[in-house]
Amino acid sequence: MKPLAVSNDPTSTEVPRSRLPHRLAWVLACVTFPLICVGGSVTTYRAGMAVPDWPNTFGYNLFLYPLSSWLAVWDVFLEHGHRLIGATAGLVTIALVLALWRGDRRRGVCWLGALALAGVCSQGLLGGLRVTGNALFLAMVHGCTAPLVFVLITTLVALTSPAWRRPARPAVRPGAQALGTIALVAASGIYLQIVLGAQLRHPGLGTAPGWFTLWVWLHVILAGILAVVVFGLLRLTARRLRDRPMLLRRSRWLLGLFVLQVVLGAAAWITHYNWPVWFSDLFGKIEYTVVTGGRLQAVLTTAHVAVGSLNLAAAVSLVLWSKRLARASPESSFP
Amino acid sequence: MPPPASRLWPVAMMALALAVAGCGGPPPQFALNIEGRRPQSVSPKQREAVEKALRKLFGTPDEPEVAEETHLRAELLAMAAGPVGGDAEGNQRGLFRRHCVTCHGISGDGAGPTAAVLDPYPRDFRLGLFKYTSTRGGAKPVRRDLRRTLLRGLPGTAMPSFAQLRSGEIEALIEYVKYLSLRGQTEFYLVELVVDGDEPLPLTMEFVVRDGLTPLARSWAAPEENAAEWVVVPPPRPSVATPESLAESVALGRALYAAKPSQCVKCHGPDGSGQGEETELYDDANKRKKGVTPEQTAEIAPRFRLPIQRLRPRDFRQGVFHGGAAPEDLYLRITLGIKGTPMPGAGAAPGVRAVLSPEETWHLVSFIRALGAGAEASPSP
Repeated sequence: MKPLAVSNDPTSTEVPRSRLPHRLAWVLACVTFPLICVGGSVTTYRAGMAVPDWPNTFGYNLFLYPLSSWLAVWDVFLEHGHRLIGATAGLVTIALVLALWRGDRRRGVCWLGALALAGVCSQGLLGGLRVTGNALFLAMVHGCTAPLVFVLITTLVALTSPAWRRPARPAVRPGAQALGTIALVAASGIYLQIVLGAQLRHPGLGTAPGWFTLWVWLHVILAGILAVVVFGLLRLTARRLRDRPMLLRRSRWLLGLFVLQVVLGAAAWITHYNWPVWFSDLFGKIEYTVVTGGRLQAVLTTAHVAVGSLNLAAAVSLVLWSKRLARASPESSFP
Repeated sequence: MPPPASRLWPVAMMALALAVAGCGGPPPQFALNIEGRRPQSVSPKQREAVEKALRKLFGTPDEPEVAEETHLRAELLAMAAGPVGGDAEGNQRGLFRRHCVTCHGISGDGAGPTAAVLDPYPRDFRLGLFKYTSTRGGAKPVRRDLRRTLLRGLPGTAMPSFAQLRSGEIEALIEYVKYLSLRGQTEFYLVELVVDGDEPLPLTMEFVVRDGLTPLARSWAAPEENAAEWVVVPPPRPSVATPESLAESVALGRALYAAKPSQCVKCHGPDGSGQGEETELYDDANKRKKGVTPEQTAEIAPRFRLPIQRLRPRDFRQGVFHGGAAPEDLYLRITLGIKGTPMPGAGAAPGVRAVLSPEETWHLVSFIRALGAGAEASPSP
C-alpha cells in the first residue's frame, strides 16, 4: 500500500492506517463525560475541599488510598473518585496520542491529540491548584475549561471516525456552509452560557449582589437567543439539507439537548432557590422546601452541568460535519 | 498560520501562574456596617476605633475569638468559621462558608452574592432579629428555634432545610449565627456610640464590654435560662376531631378573623388573599430604606447594599407558610407575631394584654388552615 502523504489539515479526509485512535477517542470520551458528571457533583455537594492535599489523598498515593476510607465519607468518595477518573482519563489520553502519532498521518489530528493531552493535564493541574490554594476562582476556571477539553475529545472522535475518513467528492453546498457558520455561533453562545453558569455556581465571597443578578439575567436572555438559533439550525437543515441525514440528525439532537438543558436549568434553580415570586403570582404558590444536599437538587443541578457539555459537543459536531459534508456529494453513503 | 504548540506552552503556563498568583487574595474580612449612613459621616479614626474593638472582641472570619461574656462555644465556632475543609473522617470545617455565605454574606448581613434575586431577602443576622421563634416579643430566639429553622428550612423561600447535616454541624451553625448576631449588634452599639454619641477615642475595652457586649450577651442567654418567662408553648388544641367540631371552630375563627381587634383583615384582606388595605409594608431591615417621598427613598438607596423590598402579607388561600404550616406553628405566629415585621402578636406580653385568648387563637388557626384547604373567607349565604 502506498504510504499517505503527511497533511497539516485536521479536517483532511485521508485514510489513516489504524482504527485504534478512533476506538481510543471513544473510550476517552466515555471516561471524560462521567468525569464531568462527578466534577459537577463535587461542586453541587461543595465537596471540592473534602481532600485537603494534592496530588496525594490524605498523604496516600492517589492509587493507593484505602478503599474502605474512600467509601466511608461521601464528600471524600466524590472528590477522590473525581481524581481517579481524571487520572484514568490522563492515561487513556496518553494512549490516544501515541496511537495517533503511530497510526494517523494527519499531522493536524496528531497535534489535536497532543492538545487534548495538554488540556487533560492542565485540568488536573487546575483542579490540584484549586485544592492546594483553596481557591474558589480556580474551581470556577476548572469548571469552565472542562467542557472545552471534552469537546476537543469529541472532535477527535469525529475526525478519527470511518465516516470522516471516507473520500469525499467535491460538491459545494452553500446551505451546509451557512449551517456551519450558524452552528459556530450556537457553539460560542453555548460556551458563554457555560461560563455564565460557572459564575452562578461559584460566586466569590465578596461578589456584590448586583453582579449575581446580572449573570442570572444574562444567562436567561442568552438562553432565549440560543433557543431561536438552535431552532433556526434545525429549520435550515430540514429545509435545505434534507438529503444530509447526518446533519439533520445532529440538528435534532442539538435541539433536544437544548430543550432538556432549559428544563434542567429551571429545575436546578427551583431546587436551589425555590419557585420564583412571579411564578407564584401567576400560577399560585407551590409548597416546596429547598433541601441542601438533597437527591433532587444534586441530580438536577449536576445534570444541568453535564448536559451543558453535551450541548456544546453537539453544536461543535454540527460545525465539523457541516464543514465536512459541504464538500461531499449527497450520494455518499454516510451513516 | 497558527503558532506551533511549543510556542503556546510558555504563554499558557505564564497565564496559569498569573491566575494562581492572583486568586489567593487576602483572607475575607467583616465589612464595617455603616449602612444607611453617608460614608463620609464616619471619620477614618472612628472607623478604625470600631474595627479595632470588634477585632479584639470577635476576631476575624477566619479566626473568630469569643470573649467570656458571650458564652459562645469556641469549639463549635471553629467548625463553622474559616475556609471550607474536611478530614478523612468526614469532619467538616468552614460550614458557614460552605452552606450559608452565598446568601447571608461573610458578615451575616443578608447581602451575599445571591441575595438580590431572592424574595424575601436572606436574614440580616446583625439585627439580632429572627422571624420565627417561640419567644415573646423583644426576646431573642432560643437555640431550639434556630435549630428548627435549620432542620426544616422555610417552605416557599430560598432558605433550605439542612436536615442532611450531622447534628454537630447544625449546632456549629447555630453557634456561628449567634456569633454573627452578637457581633453585629455590638457593631451597631459601637457605631452609634462613636459616631452619634461622639464617644472620646480611643475606646476603653472594659467600658465596651460592660456597657455593650455584656447586656447584649445577656439578652441571648435570658430566654434559655428563664424559659418559663420567655418561651411560649402552645396549650393543647381544643378537639376538632369530628367534622362538626372542626366546622364550629372554623366558624368561630372566621368571626375572629373579620373582627376589628384581631386586625387580620387590614393586611391579609377580607378574603385572606394577602391583599388588605395596608400595602406599604416593610420589615425592620427595609423600613430604614424608605424615605418620606419617593425621591428621598431613591436618594438614600445607594447607602444600602440591597434595594428596598416590600413585604407580602401571606395569602392564606395558598396554604404555604414560611414558618411552618402545622397548627402549633400557626398558633405561635398568631400569638407571638413575626419579629422584625409589621405582623403583631395577639398573645399576652409583659405589660401588654392579650388580644386573643389561647382558645380564640386555636379557632383562628382552624380558620386559616381551612382557607388553605379551599374554604371561603365569608360564610356561604
